[in-house]
Amino acid sequence: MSELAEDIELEILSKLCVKSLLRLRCVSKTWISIISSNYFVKCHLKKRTSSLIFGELDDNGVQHISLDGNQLSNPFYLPIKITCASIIGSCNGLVCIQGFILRIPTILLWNPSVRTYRYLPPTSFTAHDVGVFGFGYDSMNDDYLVMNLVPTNSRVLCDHVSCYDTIPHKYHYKSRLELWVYRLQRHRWTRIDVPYWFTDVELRVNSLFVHEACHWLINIKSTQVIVAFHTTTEKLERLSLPMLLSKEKNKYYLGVLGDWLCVSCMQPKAVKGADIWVMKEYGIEDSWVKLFSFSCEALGKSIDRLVPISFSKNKERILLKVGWKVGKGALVWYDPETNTAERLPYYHTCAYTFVESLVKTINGRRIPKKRKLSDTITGLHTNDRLYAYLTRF
Amino acid sequence: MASTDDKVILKSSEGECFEVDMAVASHLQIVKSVLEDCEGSSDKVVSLFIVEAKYVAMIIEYYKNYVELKEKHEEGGFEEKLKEFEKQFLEQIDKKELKGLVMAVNYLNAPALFDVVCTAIAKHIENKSVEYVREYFGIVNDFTAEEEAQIREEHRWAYDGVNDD
Repeated sequence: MSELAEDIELEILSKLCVKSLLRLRCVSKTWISIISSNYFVKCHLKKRTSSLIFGELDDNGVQHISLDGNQLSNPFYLPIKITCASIIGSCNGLVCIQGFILRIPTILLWNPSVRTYRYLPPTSFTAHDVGVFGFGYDSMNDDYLVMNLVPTNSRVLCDHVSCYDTIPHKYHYKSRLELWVYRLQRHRWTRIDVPYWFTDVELRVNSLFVHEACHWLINIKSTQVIVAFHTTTEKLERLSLPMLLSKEKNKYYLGVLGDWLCVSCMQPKAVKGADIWVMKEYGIEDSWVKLFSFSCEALGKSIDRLVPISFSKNKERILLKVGWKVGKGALVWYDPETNTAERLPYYHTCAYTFVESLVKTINGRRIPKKRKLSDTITGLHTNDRLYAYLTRF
Repeated sequence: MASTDDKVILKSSEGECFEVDMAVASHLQIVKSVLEDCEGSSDKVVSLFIVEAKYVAMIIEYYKNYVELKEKHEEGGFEEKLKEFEKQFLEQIDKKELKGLVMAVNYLNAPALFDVVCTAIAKHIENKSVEYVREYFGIVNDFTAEEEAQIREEHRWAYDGVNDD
């Protein structure tokens, strides 16, 4: 028995950092059951403030800074050596990592604050074409999803092949695409039917999760649109870009500000800057408004790409990920009022917002010992072998 | 008459009486509901049976400043000023008293102060050892030695860098 009532304890505990909570699990049986409960994990998550993870995953460490004060915390180390690692997405404290282990494409869900991770079973990707990924959360079922769009035939055209996610890979698929969805609770991939219009598409690798949907910028029959996959309904939907933009041949990037989906449109030839548009009411195409224009004068040099990541705490400044044709990108705090930019002294090849959380990578349910053959794709013996090897631990 | 109408008397567990402005007392949900229940009655004394006088005084001090600051900084800056005051307010409370205060505030149902005190307690135990936290909360360890060793083993790194000063 404690001197304090359980609801007071819960309130106090929900304000602690993950490391302290993991330690205080052994205070008593009551505390371990509070801290392990899904209810508490959610209460705790709601009270976290966003931070930022970024870095070059090749040296296996991921840098971590707070968004107010830009204070550098201890880096997170990848739990295992992964080559060409990149981040697919970050959501509720889980980070989805893609890379190669022993040259075999591998995906893992990682909770860097708890230091746990889980390998995903192999999907239909081959070693040469892993397709395009997305990572998101389904609040209705309290489940985490990884989406994989893979071509049924080999890729026709590809702009870039690079390990770094800041380089805008673009794939052109003449053939139909298959959509495979992994759910953490089921721990297996399922194929989802794609709509008839989803063919002959050019697809960007970068995905963005906001409003319970994962978004990609795509080009269908020479028209730029955003395609959204809703995690709860498992439906694909098209969202148009702001009217003015869809026909122009400019370069676009998807970003997020608060809970607004946004698009940055690089001004022609990328010398002057970029326009940032936000969809004020999600799903309503008329609600696109231009929020501000970024002028390269603020940085003193022209840029090639720009992605909005987050508002500052007081919403006066905006954190931008900017990049050039070659080399690593930079992080910039931008004040649209005064057109001033403060460049952070860090380079990165990827940057995502992050909240520390106790969200589990293993979801209670036990993994069946024998996986049915139909659950996975046949003919991928190397993947299966690796998976079997990795999951022994 | 208006001046006395706006006052309410809060009575601590020892029977000590505190005369408070209604504007201050209305932040305590329990006082508000007691007064609503006996509306029309001239008796404006609310007995807070389980709350000691020193905590009643602290709670009144907090909400008095809260109300004053809110009035003074209507146009903005209230939150920063309140933060400043909260810092001073917490400095004069000893760590043991925080526990008594949080129970009192929880009983009186005063959300703003509840959050402040819980945050202060959380900050206090953030980097403390398991033993310190058990003692602070008066919790008896109900794990066997083996059970505890096993739980510690699961996240051994989380036990580094604790400091009990």
